[in-house]
Amino acid sequence: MSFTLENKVTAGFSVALLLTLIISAVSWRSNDQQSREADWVQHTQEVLARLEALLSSITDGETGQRGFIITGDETYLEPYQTYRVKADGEYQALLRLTANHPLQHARLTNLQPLLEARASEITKNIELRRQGFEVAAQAIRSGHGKALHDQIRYRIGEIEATERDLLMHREIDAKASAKLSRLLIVLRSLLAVGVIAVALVIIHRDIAGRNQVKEALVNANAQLQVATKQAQHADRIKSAFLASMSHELRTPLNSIIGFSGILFQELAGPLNTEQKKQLGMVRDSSRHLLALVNDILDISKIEANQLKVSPIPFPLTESIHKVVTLIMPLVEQKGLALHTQIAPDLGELVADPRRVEQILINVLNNAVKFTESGRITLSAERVADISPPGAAAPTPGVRLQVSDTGRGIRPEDITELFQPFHQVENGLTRSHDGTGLGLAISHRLLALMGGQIYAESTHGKGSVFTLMLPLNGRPLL
Amino acid sequence: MNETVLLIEDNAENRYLTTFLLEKSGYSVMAAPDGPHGLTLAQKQPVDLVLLDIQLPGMDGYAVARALRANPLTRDLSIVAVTSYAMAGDREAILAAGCDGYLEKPIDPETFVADIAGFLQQKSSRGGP
Repeated sequence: MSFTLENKVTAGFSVALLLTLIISAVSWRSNDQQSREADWVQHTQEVLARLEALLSSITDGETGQRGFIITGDETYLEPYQTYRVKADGEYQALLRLTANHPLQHARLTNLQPLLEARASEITKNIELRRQGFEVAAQAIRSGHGKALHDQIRYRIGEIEATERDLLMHREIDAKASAKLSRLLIVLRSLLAVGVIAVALVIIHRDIAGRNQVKEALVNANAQLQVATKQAQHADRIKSAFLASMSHELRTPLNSIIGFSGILFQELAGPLNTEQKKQLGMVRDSSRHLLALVNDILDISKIEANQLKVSPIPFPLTESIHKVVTLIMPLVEQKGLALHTQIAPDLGELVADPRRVEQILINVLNNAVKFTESGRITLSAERVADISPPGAAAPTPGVRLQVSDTGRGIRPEDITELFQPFHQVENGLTRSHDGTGLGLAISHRLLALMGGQIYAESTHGKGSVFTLMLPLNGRPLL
Repeated sequence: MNETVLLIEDNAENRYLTTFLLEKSGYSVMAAPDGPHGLTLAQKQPVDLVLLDIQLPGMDGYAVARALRANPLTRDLSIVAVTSYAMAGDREAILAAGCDGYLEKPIDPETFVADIAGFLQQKSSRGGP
């Protein structure tokens, strides 16, 4: 399965996009977490601050009490006055802040009675001093207040330690989250770069591949053009040669046929019997030579792929009559009968009339040649389809048939019939038998015209030659 | 009869042959060895038919036919080409150049004169100059 460039690019970018989305989602989560962890760190720091403040305000109360007990001066009670409210405030805040931590919350709750006890102790001592120094000092020397204070300090210390521990853990977590976040950023960037690099490489290779193909195509094209020019050149040379040959051969033939014909017709003077006889032979031979020259020129053209046809519309019936007129003398000479069956709707054919006539004469000549007695029948009719069975579209055309009551063709000869230079052994009349090229030329001509020719025969009984021609023949070059 | 045929043919022997045949049948024959001479003769003398070899050296038969047709003096002459018929398409070229018909080389001495008479007949039935 091969992937097109578009497929690869689409797949590549889709994967990259998907991965980016995944990493972005993870990144978002991480960021969110980081934010929450920062909040918790702040939270813990607040708890510690308030614990500090609570202890400090309790100590203020302590200081106030001490100052007053020592001096008996009411002004020293100032810190004591404010401490209760302040401590209370801090205490409430702490309760709120530790709502999520059952242990810390329980510790704070348990602290409350101690704080109350301390507060009432301080109040009591202050009252005692107002009564007298000695009685207050005695209460203090009992150590009860100090014990309470130490307990409170110890418990607050406990809470603080736990909070510091929490703070440390939360700070570690926050740092880890930040680290993860940074890692994800790096990962995403690497991924993006990686994917783009891979995409570039793929695209580059594809383009390079295409360029190679293009180059190969350009080269092949250039070679084709050179080859075509060479072929065309060779073609022109062959064509010029054949045209020249045709002209050169026909010129002396013109004189030979012409003058022997003039003499034979006694236009240049009367002839005696012997002279007439001999000139008759010269005349016959010269015509035979012309037929040979024509056939050889045709077969040369066929071999050189230079044989071309020139189709025009022409009335087929007229051509048939022309050909019949030409063959009639031979028919009568041999005492045969020639019968024609021409369909009235034959009409016009688009083909090369000269070549059609050439083929018909060739086939008729053969029929006469190989028939000693009986009749030759020439039929012509239109058919709806001349193409062989299995062809794509029907081709309308005409079918011409020449059948004879002659000696027929042996099965082993039928296959060779349309090959050039093949001649069926005829014994006696070899010399004027034609060239052995006629059927080969006819076969090739019909192929060029888009038609066909074939023969059927029963040895000893006769033969039937069938020609098919398309109505609208175009030369197949 | 006594119609005049202008023969334009470069080969001396062919000229002799054709002239002999035509004169024996009562035609007057003027012969020219090439195109330019033939054109000059065609303009100077009254001619009934021009017998034109296609394979002429220098100015070929097609050019001669075109020249004859282009000239008002010779435009309506009957022109018959004589051709070796080497290539398919010759027929079309001959008719396109302005010829009325053609005969193939080598000519048939037994039918040649009848063919010429036939061309002259066509001409006169069309209505000559």
